[in-house]
Amino acid sequence: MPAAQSHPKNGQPGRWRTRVAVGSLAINLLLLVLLLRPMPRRSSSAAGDGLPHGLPGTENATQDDRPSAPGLTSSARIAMSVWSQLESNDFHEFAANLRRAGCPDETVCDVIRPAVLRSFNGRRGQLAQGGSYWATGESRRALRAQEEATEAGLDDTQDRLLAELVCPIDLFDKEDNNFEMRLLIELASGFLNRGAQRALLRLIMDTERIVERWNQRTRGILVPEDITALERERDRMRQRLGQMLSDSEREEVDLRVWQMTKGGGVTVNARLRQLRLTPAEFREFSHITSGAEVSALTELLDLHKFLGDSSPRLTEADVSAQLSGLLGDERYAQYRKDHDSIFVAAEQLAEQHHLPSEAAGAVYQTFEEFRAALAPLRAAWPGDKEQARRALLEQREQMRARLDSILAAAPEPGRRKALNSWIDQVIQEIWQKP
Amino acid sequence: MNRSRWLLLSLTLNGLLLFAVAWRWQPAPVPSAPADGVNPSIATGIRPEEPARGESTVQVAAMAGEVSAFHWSQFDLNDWPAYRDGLRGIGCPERTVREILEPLVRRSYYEQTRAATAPYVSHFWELLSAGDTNGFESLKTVLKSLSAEKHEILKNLLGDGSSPDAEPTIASKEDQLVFLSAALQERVVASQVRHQERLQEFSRDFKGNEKERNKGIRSLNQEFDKELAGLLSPEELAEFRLRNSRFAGLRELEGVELSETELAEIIRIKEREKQGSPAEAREVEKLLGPDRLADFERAQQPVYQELLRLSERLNAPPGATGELWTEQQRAEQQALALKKDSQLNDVDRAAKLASQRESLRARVGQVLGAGGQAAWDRQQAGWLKQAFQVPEENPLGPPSGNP
Repeated sequence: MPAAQSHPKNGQPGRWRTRVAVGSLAINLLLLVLLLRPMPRRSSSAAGDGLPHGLPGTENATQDDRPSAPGLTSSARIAMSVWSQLESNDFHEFAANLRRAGCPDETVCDVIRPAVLRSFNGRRGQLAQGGSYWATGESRRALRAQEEATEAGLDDTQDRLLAELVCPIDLFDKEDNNFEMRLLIELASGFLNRGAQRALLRLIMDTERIVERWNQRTRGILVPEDITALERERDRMRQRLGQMLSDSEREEVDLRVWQMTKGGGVTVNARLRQLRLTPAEFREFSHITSGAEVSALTELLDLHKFLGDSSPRLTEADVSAQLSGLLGDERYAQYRKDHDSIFVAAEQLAEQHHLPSEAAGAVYQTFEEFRAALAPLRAAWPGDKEQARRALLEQREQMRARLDSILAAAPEPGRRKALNSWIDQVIQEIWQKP
Repeated sequence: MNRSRWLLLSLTLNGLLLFAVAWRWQPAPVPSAPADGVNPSIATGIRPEEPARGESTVQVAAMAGEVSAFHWSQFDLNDWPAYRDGLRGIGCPERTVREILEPLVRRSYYEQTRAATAPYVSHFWELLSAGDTNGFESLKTVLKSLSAEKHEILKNLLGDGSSPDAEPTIASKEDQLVFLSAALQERVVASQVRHQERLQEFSRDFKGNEKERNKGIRSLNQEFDKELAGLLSPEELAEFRLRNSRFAGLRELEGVELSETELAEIIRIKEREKQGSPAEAREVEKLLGPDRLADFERAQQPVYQELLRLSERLNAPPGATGELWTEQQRAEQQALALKKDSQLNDVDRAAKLASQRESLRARVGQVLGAGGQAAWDRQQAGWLKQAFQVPEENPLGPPSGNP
């Protein structure tokens, strides 16, 4: 069959085919252009793009605004890109970004905590700039009240934020410029396991913070509602302490703190060494003598600053009785003498006048007898004042004569005048503490 | 090839190109959290940026890859210099580098401290009972040495701490300097820091008598004044001097209404005249008038300020502070008279003082209420003790002197 000849009727499919072919070719060209064309930049400001937003003040920054301008090296742009992707003015987001990037928890807190504190300190600083510097009277009072209320709010918000971020302020992370404090902490609580020690130190810091806050808010004036609230705080601290330490651990820490702060520290004076105490006796000795005064740790945790001192565990009479039981008669007598200010003064007097060592004992003996003679006069005071005064003067003269004979061997001139004034001082002391 | 085949080919190419374009232009997938909650990479979804001049597409792709591949485990936390450099390498600000490394170093040295202290902790009572002072002294030496080593390491790692973000050594006391521009504040603070350093250096190195020392300090102060005069305008300098005056605290006084002008003038009077002198009193009275002078003098009494705070805290009625103050002053005078009354014996004197004290407390209770009275008792405990304390009589009179 011959090739179909073009026929007016048969030409339409051919034209249609041509049109389709041309259209297809055009589409191909268009698609090629689209395929080879570079892609446009993306904006980063859209919410939900999953990217953390940047530094404060750049919340509306787009990718275009980021430091990716031509002229910076690739390394610099990578550097800025990485940190700027992590950092955020939303602290929760900042912490989450760091954790997602594998940052250790401690390091997250090391970064976030100072940032939080700076942020809040900045806001506190702005408070100081509000109002007239020279406002006085009622204006000053109103300004102060407003500042205090705002500051209290900031404090609460800051603490809550740090608690949410699980980044409490930790004593271990404070700069240990106070060397002695570091030694005290370690010797007093180093026997605890790590977790208990940290918990205790955190409790101490929290309590200090409570004391500071209450000081600021109440300015030393406590109304009954404050007392109730403080007692509740104290009970919370006690509960926390009870959960972290056993009774024996608590007692040991308390005792060591007392020893380090009020018991002489790590320096044991020669007089105490002469008693030759065993380790157990020494500990018991500290336990008894600390019973008459509350340890610094208890003072703090029980909020003594606001709620007043709790009664000591032991009276002075109890202390004496228990020490006597611990040391035995001989050592206890030695202890009493060594800790009697009169004996110490007698030793100093003998040393000052270059007297033989037994002279101090003789001086002390004289004062002991004087003390015994003075006791009934003191007990009867005021009674017949004139009679008591005469008896006292008589005793004083007798004592002077005896001391004078003891000190007769002293080579220095002017001894008598020094002795007279010293005797009067001792009399005063004995009179006030019979 | 006939036309049909060309058409078929073209249509097939349409399909392929359409598919290719659709694949190239699809949006980037949103990263989903992995099962363990830790996303091993950050910032996925960043498209490669436009190449900068001189950069190839390959370099840009590598850069995007590095950003998205960052993980903290890339840092060796035990190699502090490398860690520091790595942090800087990811653009971490210098202050944050310090805030990361300092605690790390401190914690490390704390472990060494704990190890060194451990034997002393576990043998605490043995060492004390043995009176082993040398042992504890050795421990102190070791700890001090560790501390010094730590500071040296930090200094080598991070410098001497004076980073651009470091606080100046004299706090800028925003409220004292806030009236100056930010730039001037910085310069004034820098000048104060220098002045303090000069004073410290002078005190440390000076070897001479007290008169010469005071002369030297005066000279340094004059130098500082001259420096300030060069920085500040006369008005600014006058305001600076007022705010830094030792009497600037008078602005904190409550219970007296003073205008800003009056307060500033009072400070100038006090700086100019000798404290407590008749001239000072005359000038202040001239300024305020006798009634307001009385208010001003009363406001300067610490007990009055305490009572003001107490009244405010208790929301006491107006005038309560004045009433309390008057009652306390009266009671104090009466107690003093009782103490001096030689006609009274000790027993009667003690009884009358106790009675007077209770009268005062009752009066306070009427003004402040029962709860307020308890707060007053606590606040004024020291004053009460001092005002109503029965004097202890020394039968021999006061001691004749020190040995």
